Amino acid sequence: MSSNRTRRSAGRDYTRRLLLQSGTVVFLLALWLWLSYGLQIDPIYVPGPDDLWTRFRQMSGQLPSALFYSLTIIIGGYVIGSGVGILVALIMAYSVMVRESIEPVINVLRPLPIFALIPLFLLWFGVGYGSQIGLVAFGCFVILVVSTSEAIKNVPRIYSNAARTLGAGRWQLFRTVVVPAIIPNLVGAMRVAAAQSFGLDVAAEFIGAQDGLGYLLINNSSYLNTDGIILIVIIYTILAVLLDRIVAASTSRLIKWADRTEH
Amino acid sequence: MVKDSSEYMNDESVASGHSVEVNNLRVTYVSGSNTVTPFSDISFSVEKGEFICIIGPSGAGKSTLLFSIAGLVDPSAGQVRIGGQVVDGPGGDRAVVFQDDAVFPWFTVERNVGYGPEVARWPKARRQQAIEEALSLVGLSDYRSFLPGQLSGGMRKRVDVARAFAAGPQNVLMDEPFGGLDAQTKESLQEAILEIWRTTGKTIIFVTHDLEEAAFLADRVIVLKKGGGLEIVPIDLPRPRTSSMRTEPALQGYRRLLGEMIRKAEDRKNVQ
Repeated sequence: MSSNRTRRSAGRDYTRRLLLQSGTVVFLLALWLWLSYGLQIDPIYVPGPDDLWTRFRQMSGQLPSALFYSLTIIIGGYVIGSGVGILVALIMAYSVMVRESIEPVINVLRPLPIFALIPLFLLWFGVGYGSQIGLVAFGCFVILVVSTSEAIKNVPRIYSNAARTLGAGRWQLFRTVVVPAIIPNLVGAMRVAAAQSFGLDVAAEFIGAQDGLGYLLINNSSYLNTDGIILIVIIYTILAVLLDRIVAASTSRLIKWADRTEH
Repeated sequence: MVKDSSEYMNDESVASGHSVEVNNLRVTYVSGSNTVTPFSDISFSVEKGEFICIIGPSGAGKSTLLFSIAGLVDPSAGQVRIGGQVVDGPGGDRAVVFQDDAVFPWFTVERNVGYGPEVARWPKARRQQAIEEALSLVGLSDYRSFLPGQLSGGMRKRVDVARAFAAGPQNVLMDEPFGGLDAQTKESLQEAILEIWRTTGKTIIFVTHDLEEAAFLADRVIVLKKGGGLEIVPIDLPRPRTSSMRTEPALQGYRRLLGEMIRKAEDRKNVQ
């Protein structure tokens, strides 16, 4: 009886939310059309849908190679940065000594403005792929290491006590308690890093790329091609959502237990 | 003692017949900026196969005492011996059921219950047998593939109990294990634990603040006094203890007696 009622009201909640959300989307779209066609605002400020479509057809020749270039930087930087980040995080999780000795470094990394390091990256890795991938990788690395070190500290002590009283040794404690306990945070950090890597890519391409979405963005910006800018922002957003979905889907099995299943 | 546990005694039994001996134990730990010494110079011993409850006013160090037997807290003086061996760290002869939910949420019920055998690297067949036995002891055989998040609090506590027993310890230490549960679940778990104890012949040391629980479960109740010292009350009630005995005058008499002793144990501290 009562479960029936909760189900019905949950359904009503869902419909209500759906209505509110689609209402917002419709309102924003209508606002855009009204600004563009109704008020006839200059397309330099607010380009209309037809401007975007025209620009898309014009740029379609450049897009594949730009996409390829940017994705190389993003995926390359993300994989390297997250990989090294996870590795360092796991070593930190295993060894208290390592964790305590690199703690000061992590405390500095946390507030560090990564974009301020761009000149150094240019100096060390030169203009081009090296410093661009390096910047993305470093940004992802910081996110993973910082949030993992936090997660390790937050593993409830009761779990390690329980494992120890049941006879777990150090490696077993690491493998069966610490790693599973931090995986939800690790996955969360991987998704944050995935999202951040697009912003890092834009910044990276501002430092002397000859191809790529960020490069196109600068180009369109210098010619005041607002429609082109918006188009690239949309492309970045779609890519970011896709990468997030991929990371979420490929890690969902790992964090199934953390789903709050109601009983 | 009415209980006949001799048939469960195994060859590990020590000459003294004592399973757990606490000798002149004193524990001091740092809490914030204070050093706390909940008890000092306490001694008692527990027979193999006995069911002991520890009660006492809050701050008397009930859990600290249990954790020093578990090997999670180091004594600052004296020692705990188990089967004649001085405790220094957790060991396979003891398992602990904690007050808070300590079931690993990332493992299924089956993997949780088999955790002790898994880390001890028992052969597969023996491991599986231990899991089956422990699951059926707590009546969770049908839930082996569930994740803890899918179970109720009372069921998770059963998983916790099964996990402790599956590890095959002679001594099971329980720290207010049923403290957070509703009255009905609590009573059914108390009866379940008595049944498990009866069939396995383990030694159980059980911390609680519930006096009726202590009187219902224990062979002997240890009353810790605040600031040190203890008294031991044998509970002379027949076994097996059944639900209907809870309301009987004999058990309620013990409950009143324990209540008075707790009040006195507290008073002593207030005078100081």
